[in-house]
Amino acid sequence: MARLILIDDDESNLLTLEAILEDEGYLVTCCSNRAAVMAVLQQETEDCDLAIVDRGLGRDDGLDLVPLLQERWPGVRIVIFSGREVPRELPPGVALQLAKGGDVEELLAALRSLSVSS
Amino acid sequence: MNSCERLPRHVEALVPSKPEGSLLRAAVAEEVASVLRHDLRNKFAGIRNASVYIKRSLKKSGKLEGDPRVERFLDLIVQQLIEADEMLSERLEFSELLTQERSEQSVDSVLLELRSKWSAVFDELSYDLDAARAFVFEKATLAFCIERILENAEEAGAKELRISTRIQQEEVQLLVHQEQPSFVSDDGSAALTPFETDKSGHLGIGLNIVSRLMHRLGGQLSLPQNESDALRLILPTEMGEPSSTSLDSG
Repeated sequence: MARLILIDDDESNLLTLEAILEDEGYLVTCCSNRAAVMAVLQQETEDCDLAIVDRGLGRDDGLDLVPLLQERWPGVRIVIFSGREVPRELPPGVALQLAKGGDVEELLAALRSLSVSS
Repeated sequence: MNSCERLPRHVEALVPSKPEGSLLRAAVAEEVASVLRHDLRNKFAGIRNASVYIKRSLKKSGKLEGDPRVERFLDLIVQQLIEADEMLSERLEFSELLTQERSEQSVDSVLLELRSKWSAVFDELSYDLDAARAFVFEKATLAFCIERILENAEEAGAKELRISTRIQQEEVQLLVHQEQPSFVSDDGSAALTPFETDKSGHLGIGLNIVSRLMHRLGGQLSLPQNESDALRLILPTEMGEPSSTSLDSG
């Protein structure tokens, strides 16, 4: 069962996406801010396979968490949620970038694909 | 066509009336719209996810077959939200109005043109300029950013400012040192939280606008991290196509 960390500062998005991902069979850890992510990175003993990171984390940029996630879990595949205009070039360390307003099924398909390729 | 005339009336109502013209109006409109896009996208995503989950749950339990409209309406919720999200990009996007003419000049020359106006505002405004190399960039945009920063310092009650420039590799750094910075916080980012201000009559988006415009130019605004640090505008000497307003985070 793949482990996934979900990082989003919007509580309703966190709640509903967690439910969908658990329904898909993922073991999900939710974090709504940078401090929560840091706590997980320090305390979590298991490896994490996937990460979904919202770029807008209040005052923080989710991209700043990418190197920290990779350092803790070198094999983690990272998906970034960004605003509508998704830049063509992937930031370093990011496997996939998706627009937040897009289709949930597209996200789930992408996660399945990343799980297989990891 | 004057870019001001293209702003919808409900956006015009949000824009303060100042003499600077179309760039200010477009920048305010884009900043306000950006915050709205971000917040609405979060709301839409939550509702959409909930609908998706409910449909999956009902399907699993076999309760979806009883009334075909249930599935249809759940799909309708998702579809409407996807379309609403697309409308945000199509109708609430003003970044193209920010484009200004590009020409070749130096950052130092832009500063010197602003000198006489701003020297009268502060008790002491000193310069240490070392960026005389000319290159192509949007002069009006950079001048606008510099003036917003000086305006911010003035409103914070700064009496003495020192502006310095230098070229490091392929970028120009413009540093503004003021004796009492108005924007240093524990993490230096409080000033970039839109609509947060303690100044009455202000929207609290001035530095956000500067950050957005500098990002468009391929550069950035860097806030001071402590009392002795300077605010920095960083501008690459090789400017590509203007960056999209991808400060629109998730």
